Amino acid sequence: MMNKEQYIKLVMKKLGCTKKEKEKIKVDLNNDIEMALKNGETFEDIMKRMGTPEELAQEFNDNLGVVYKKSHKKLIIGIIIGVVAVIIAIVLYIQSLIPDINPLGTSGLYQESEVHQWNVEAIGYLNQNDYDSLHQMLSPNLRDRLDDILKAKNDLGELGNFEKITSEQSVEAKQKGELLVASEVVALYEKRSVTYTISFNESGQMVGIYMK
Amino acid sequence: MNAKYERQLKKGVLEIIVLQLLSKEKMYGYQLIMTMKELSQGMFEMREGTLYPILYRLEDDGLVKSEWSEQKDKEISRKYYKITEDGQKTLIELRSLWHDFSKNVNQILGDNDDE
Repeated sequence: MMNKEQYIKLVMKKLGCTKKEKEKIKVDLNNDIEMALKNGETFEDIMKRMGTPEELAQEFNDNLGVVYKKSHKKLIIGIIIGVVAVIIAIVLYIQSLIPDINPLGTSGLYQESEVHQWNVEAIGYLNQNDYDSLHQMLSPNLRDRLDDILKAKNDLGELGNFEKITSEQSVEAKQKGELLVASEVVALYEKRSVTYTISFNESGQMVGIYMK
Repeated sequence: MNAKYERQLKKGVLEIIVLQLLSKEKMYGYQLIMTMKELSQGMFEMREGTLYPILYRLEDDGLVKSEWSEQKDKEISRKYYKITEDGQKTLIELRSLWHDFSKNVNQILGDNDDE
């Protein structure tokens, strides 16, 4: 059997209004029940008349017009935060994938002359099919692909003798935390030109090569 | 009949009724509920969850005021509601509105009877 305090406590729990309003209701309900008891009603009668704590709280909520709006607002805010968080996560992820590209010299890690030297050496080794030198120049994870690289060079066909480098463009690119330098080098041979795209890391190891 | 319609109709006059009762004498919430029930032969059996929000709104609008009764002997001080001057003025306006309102409604309903 519930008593007045328990009844009111339950009602308070289910109320969705402001703290100030809740305080007012607590006082008024206390008052009300006391007067009813004084008037000769039993607490059972009173509960029957006022309804269960849940019903009474619901009635207050409906008439104060507060609860549904509040939870609706919270839901919308929650959804917006969720969506924004997902969008931020996606953007950050894509950013980490896209290499950050800057002109050569921006970081101070790579010198143009040094990079040029590497490019010239690399192309030279390729021209001579110098397996060992190439092997030494390649970064560890590219060494397995050495045969593919040489094959690619051969697939270009009869080039004739190497004449000179006609153009060279380099950029610094940050990829997965590493700062690399990538160059597009056009090499002129007797029969035709070949465009090499070569990438090196800070230690001067080749981390990528593409030719057409 | 769907109880919803009856509720809707009653909802519109609750403020007027509360102000009218308070204009005669100051009352405790419980008193208001009992008095309304008696005077309406049970038709207006308002529950606390409906009455108090109305009283709070009237209080916010300055039409009623809540006070605490004097402590007498062992009796605890109790909260009661009384009408303000603004409340009296508003009541007069509302009564006039009700008068026109019910007259017009009766007119519309009355016509149907003749058909």
